[in-house]
Amino acid sequence: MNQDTDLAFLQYCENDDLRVLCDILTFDHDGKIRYSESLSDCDSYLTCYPDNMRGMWQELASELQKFGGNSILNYIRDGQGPSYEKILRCVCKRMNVEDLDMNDTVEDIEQKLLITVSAKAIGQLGEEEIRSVMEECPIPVLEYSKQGLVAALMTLRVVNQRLFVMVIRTVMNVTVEALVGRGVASACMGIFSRGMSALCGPFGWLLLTGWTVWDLMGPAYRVTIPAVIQVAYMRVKYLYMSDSKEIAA
Amino acid sequence: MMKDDDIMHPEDRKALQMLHKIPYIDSVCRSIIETEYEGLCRGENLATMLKASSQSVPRVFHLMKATCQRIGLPMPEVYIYNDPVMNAYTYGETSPFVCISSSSVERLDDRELMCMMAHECGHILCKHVLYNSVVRFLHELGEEFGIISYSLSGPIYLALQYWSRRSELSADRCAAATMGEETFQRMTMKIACGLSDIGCDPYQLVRQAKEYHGHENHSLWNKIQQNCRMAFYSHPQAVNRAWEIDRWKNSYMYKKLRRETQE
Ligand SMILES: [Zn+2]
Repeated sequence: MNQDTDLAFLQYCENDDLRVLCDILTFDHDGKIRYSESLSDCDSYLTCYPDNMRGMWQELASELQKFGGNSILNYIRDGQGPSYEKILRCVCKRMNVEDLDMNDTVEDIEQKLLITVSAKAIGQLGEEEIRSVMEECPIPVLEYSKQGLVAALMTLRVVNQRLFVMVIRTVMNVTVEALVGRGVASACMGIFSRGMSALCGPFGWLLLTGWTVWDLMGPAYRVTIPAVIQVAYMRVKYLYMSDSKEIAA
Repeated sequence: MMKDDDIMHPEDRKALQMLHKIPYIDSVCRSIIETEYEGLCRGENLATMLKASSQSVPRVFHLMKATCQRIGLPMPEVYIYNDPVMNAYTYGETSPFVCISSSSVERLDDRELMCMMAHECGHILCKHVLYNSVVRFLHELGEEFGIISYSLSGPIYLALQYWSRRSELSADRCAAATMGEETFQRMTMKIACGLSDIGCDPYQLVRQAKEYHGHENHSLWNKIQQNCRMAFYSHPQAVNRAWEIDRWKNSYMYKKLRRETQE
């Protein structure tokens, strides 16, 4: 499969984040192995999983493209496997991400996707939980509300990437905590046995944004959507890390 | 203590997940085994084979005990049967037992024999016994009474054979993790050739595997020929077993399990 330059940054990502991506591609939300995965029997998986994940970034990228190509984008496949950007746009359409532009870069699209997903998660949080997110992050807003938090996220994306990553990560953590607290996550705890890694990723958000809707999307999206969200999250983190010097906190 | 998740080959895991989706399969299989088969086999073992204990063939008994301790599995009954072919099998669900051929006991050294035992324990650990027994039951039922015609059972039979080959790879992982991959390779070499003296190079089969894969990929015809032959095997070829463990020895899980079961 042709290597997509949009996924080349994976080789610089943190081990734990890559592991979450790998778990999403190989296991479903209750810890069962995916029938169509082809990662877990490849040589690089055997040598790299779980503590040298950078060594298998190319296999991760190919597997993501394969899932996107085989299951979602059959109709536009040209024998080469779809580009990551095509998969990403397809996921955004499915997740009802608004104001996408034809000229948007992959980074732009991904960040809009992250905001949409976070906004959905925030919508499910209670007042106390919103307050704790906003207090944990030094967000310069007056209004402690859902709308305030979403608005802050949209602003931060442009003005302060460091804080943008921080808020997204906090929303994610609070969401997971809320899930565990309400017992919503208990049905999906299978994944916990795999070192908790995947629940700390997009699964947490997606659970709270409505699992029933999620299930209706069909098996293909259940792999590709969380995988793409995880990649989006990893890229924001990577971008912030690589030019953190330029950004004023 | 070893867990089935640690050693299960992904293809084996997928096949088992698939089997679990069939409604009531577990209880149906269990009752077939309990009512039809387990008692029958145990009676036959007692009648025709030699049961190992601390007094009779104590070497086998103690090696089995040590193997089970390393894996963290309750010790099954062990029987020895008279056969020049080096082999072993396990059977039973509620109280499984392991049968080992006399030639294996004679020609394998202590470590290799433990490795063979660990392979059988791997089947017990992964709960292969349940489905494997049913596969055999259906097969015999079909053969004897013609209840299931070959046209009907053919595809199912081949699918089950495919799973059966994958399940061997899981059991091999258990063997390698318990006794080390080098011992596993020696054991596999001895079983492949039937000799007790195989020289001092344990990796001959791994090299042969590469040669074999080269042969297989040489032409499409070779590939089809080899695949058709393999479809009817219940066990993977010796070279592929050697090759699979040679890949797996680089894995995190193998290294972790070796540290835990280290002698
Ligand atoms: Zn076996």
